[in-house]
Amino acid sequence: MSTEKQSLRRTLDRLFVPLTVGPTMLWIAAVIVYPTLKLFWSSVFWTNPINGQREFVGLRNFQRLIFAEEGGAFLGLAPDFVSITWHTIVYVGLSVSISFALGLGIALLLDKDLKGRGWFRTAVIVPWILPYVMSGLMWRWMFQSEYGAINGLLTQSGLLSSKIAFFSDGTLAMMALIIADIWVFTPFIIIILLAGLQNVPEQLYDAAEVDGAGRISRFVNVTYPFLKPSILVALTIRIIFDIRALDLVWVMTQGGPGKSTEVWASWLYRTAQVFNRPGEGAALGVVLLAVTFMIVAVLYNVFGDSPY
Amino acid sequence: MSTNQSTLGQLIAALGLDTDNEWPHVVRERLVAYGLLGLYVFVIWFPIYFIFITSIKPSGAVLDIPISFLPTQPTVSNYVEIFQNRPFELYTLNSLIVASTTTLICVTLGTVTGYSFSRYDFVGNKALLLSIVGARMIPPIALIVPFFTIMSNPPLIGGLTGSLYDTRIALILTYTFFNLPFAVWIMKNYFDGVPESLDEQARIDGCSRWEGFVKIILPMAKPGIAATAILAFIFSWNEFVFALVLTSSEQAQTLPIAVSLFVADDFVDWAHLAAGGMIAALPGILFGLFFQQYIVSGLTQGAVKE
Amino acid sequence: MQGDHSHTRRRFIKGAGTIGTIALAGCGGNAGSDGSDGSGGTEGSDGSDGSGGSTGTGSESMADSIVFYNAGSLKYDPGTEENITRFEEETGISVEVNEVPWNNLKTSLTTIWRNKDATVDAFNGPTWWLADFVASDWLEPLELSDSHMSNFPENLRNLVTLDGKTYMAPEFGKWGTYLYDAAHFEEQGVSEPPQTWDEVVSKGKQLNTEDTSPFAFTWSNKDVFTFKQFLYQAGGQLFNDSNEPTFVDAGMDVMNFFTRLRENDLLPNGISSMGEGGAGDTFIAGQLASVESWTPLGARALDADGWGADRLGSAKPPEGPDSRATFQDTNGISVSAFSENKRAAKKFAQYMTTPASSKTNMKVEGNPAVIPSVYDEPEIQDQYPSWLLEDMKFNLEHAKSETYLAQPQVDDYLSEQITPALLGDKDPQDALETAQSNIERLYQDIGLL
Repeated sequence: MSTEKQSLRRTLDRLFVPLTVGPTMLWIAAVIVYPTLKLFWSSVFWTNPINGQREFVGLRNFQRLIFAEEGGAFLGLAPDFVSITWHTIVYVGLSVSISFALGLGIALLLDKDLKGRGWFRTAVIVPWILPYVMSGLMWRWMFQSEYGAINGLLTQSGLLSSKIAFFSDGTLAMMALIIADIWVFTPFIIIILLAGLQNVPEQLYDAAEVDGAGRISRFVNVTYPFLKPSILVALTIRIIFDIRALDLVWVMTQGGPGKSTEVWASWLYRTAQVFNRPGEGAALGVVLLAVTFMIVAVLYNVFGDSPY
Repeated sequence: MSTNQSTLGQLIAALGLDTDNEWPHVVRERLVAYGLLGLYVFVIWFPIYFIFITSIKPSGAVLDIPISFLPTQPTVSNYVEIFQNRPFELYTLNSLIVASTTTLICVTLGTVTGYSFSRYDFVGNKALLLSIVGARMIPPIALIVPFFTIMSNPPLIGGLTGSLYDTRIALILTYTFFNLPFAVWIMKNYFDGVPESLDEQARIDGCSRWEGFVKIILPMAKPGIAATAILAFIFSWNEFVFALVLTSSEQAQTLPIAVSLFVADDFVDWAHLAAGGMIAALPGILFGLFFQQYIVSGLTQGAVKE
Repeated sequence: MQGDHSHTRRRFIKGAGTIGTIALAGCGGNAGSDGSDGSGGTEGSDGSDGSGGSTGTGSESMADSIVFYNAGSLKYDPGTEENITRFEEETGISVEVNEVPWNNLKTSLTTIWRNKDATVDAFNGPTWWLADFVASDWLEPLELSDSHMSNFPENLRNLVTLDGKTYMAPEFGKWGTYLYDAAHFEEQGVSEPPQTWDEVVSKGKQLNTEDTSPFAFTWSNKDVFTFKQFLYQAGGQLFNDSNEPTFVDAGMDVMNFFTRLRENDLLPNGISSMGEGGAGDTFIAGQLASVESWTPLGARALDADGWGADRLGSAKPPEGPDSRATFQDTNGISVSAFSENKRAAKKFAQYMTTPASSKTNMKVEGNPAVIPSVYDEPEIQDQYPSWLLEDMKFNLEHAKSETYLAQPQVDDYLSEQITPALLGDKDPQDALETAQSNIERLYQDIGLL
């Protein structure tokens, strides 16, 4: 009896790894690997949006999205591809760099030995936890041209005599999007950098102080080396999350006015769902995937660290 | 924008880049730090405050000029009306079911798998772990096309379930796609921080691997589990893109979709939208206020290598 | 307010309060498909083969509830709402209304039907969506009687009839309409509304004040609507009979008109973000002397504070190089080919578009009737000033529209070019030619050219 139990115990123990890892791997195969393979598969088919007929087209979807051609003659990059890529670079570049600078500043402040630090930390995190849709609509309301708070503050305080229609101008609409994005994602930077700052040994600061190092030199020589891994992670995740973000753009501008705030994510959604062209949508998905991995590779090479 | 920039400017000044460290400077420095943090918190909370007072204004008063920034005649009627006039109880229920089921699946699988990854050097450990890290980088939006096709006609189980389009199951399955790798990764890193001597002690005390895991290690991992659960819940609760693609009626639509539906043409019903938005935001705000340390530790575990 | 849109709520209360068959409705949207198990179950296979073969033979029993997707919120559609209540009371069929923002509805329906999903039985939308839906075999012919269809004017009958079958029952008229602030006109000494585009410019200079812009139209997500309206006034159209896009020449007249308006400072700031709501709000706020918007704005303005029949002026749209045409944005009801409750849904489509329903809609919401005889009803003549009725009737007869394939993408190609051209950021000729060649390439791609 007890030997039987014993052997069952031993068998179960031997199976510990397969039983704990196996189901997760099967699950991941079903919800991640299979859809990703299917993405590549879908990207080489073209579906006629008006009658649903599907044909194998090889890489033509990619070619059409990225390059302009006329009767087989290559005319350079497709104008949509160029302009949407540019919007994406502006959107991601500005939001990430501004929110990084802001987040680093706040993290450095929160790292000080201040009373009520926990309270401040709680208060700065909240924007990141709210549903992006709600944040996007909230900022759309803030920037609303007649009744929005920003126009209200500017005109009622007398700073401006007439209200600004933020969403009717491409540049202003992009600015509104970037502000919303910074608002949403800066807390993430703060959290990651704050955790990184906690790794900096206090004695080193003290030593630096004894050496009479100025603040810049202290940051560069003491803080930065310890903070580098966190900076890398914060930037990587921030960038790859921003490239894929549809929520804010879709609820605030839907890519408008005209196409001036169309970014890759909204282009992909519009192509696949609004225009009913899944093949080209999948091709854009493949491009997005490739770009994401390229960015990660480049960042980790620049910082000279291996990922994880 | 200008506020942010001036905050930054003051920030650099406040860091006293050229200061000599004398005592009065330390005091001044703290005061400046408080001031800057206070200003920052004020600025980032102002929009939340504004949408909150919008939600408690009578719906007609929302379009009054000049805009009032203080709640005159506060009312809960917008909140009552969205439940009366729209099936908000169903949207809320869908959000709850989808987010908690996803969380349950991801935390369970993530915990056991994370533990094995942390403790056992089995064949393929590194490769599988790397694939999990890689999986976390896949942009979900890239997969809307395959997920749409798969949910319309699920392979293997399709004969049993039929189309999963516009069901909560479709959302749950989809949400595990971005939460499960994350959960495995956080838990692996968390278990890395739990001393292996505890496992050994358990073994010496005659525990099997399972007993040791359940009785000794799991209790130690509670904070990690809590952090994973809270983050998985928040990510699922807030998700919008897949809900937009995979659902079409209130039998599966979640709160983020419900809120976006207030944007009818461009007659936006701001008062009710604000009320709906506050309801959708509630779990986030509560988690943020009461479980902030778990969110921070979860994110840190998930992001930074131990 | 609360009574206004009780329908969405009602289905839930009904589901919770009734035992037996409808108890399933408690599970939310399931009610539609579940309830049909005993009724239209066999129709599902009919519809899903995509042939759209005719059903409704009368042998199967009528479903007791249908799911109706409404474009926009019923709050802004009280006429439809009132008619739904009447339908439910008279037939005992309950209508679950799903309110989808107008600019998401076509995408939602496309997604649902690509999936052969029976979620939706009927929807309300504009006539110009029909081509795409019918080409994909997603709509059920309505088989409305000749006597029912003869109520509508011929131009409208043609729009909803494809290959000899009727796919949409016209519900209420929507078209571009010219409204003006008579008080402001009087203050500025302008006695008559402009009759032509030239007069919009010449009188506009007189109407311009610091607080008030002389003229605006709806843009934002309705930019293509407005462009088409002006295009038709200029005698052009988007496509010729062989599906070739041919709008550059007439489009240049439109763009030149825009340029004159902009250069003379006759348009408000931020015009490109003014959709139907924004332009309407600005007009009612007294910041616009005149506006070409969509018909419900007339009724909205009449109800607004500080407005009344003596301040609100209406006129036929100022004449372009060709005519005073408007864009026909008439909405109608169609039935899904995948519906499992087709008989009930068709009955609904029929009921909602009778002269009685048309009249109710006009009375409640100010949505112009699409049945000319309604304008002669005494109740209607009592409610609306005769000049407004006359303009509406004129528009009903002169409204133009086209239904074309791959409409979302065609509109997108237009929209991305005409907005920068309107704002003066892009050369108009270049913009229109780019749009036209993009559309041409699209049509070659999908095999239409």
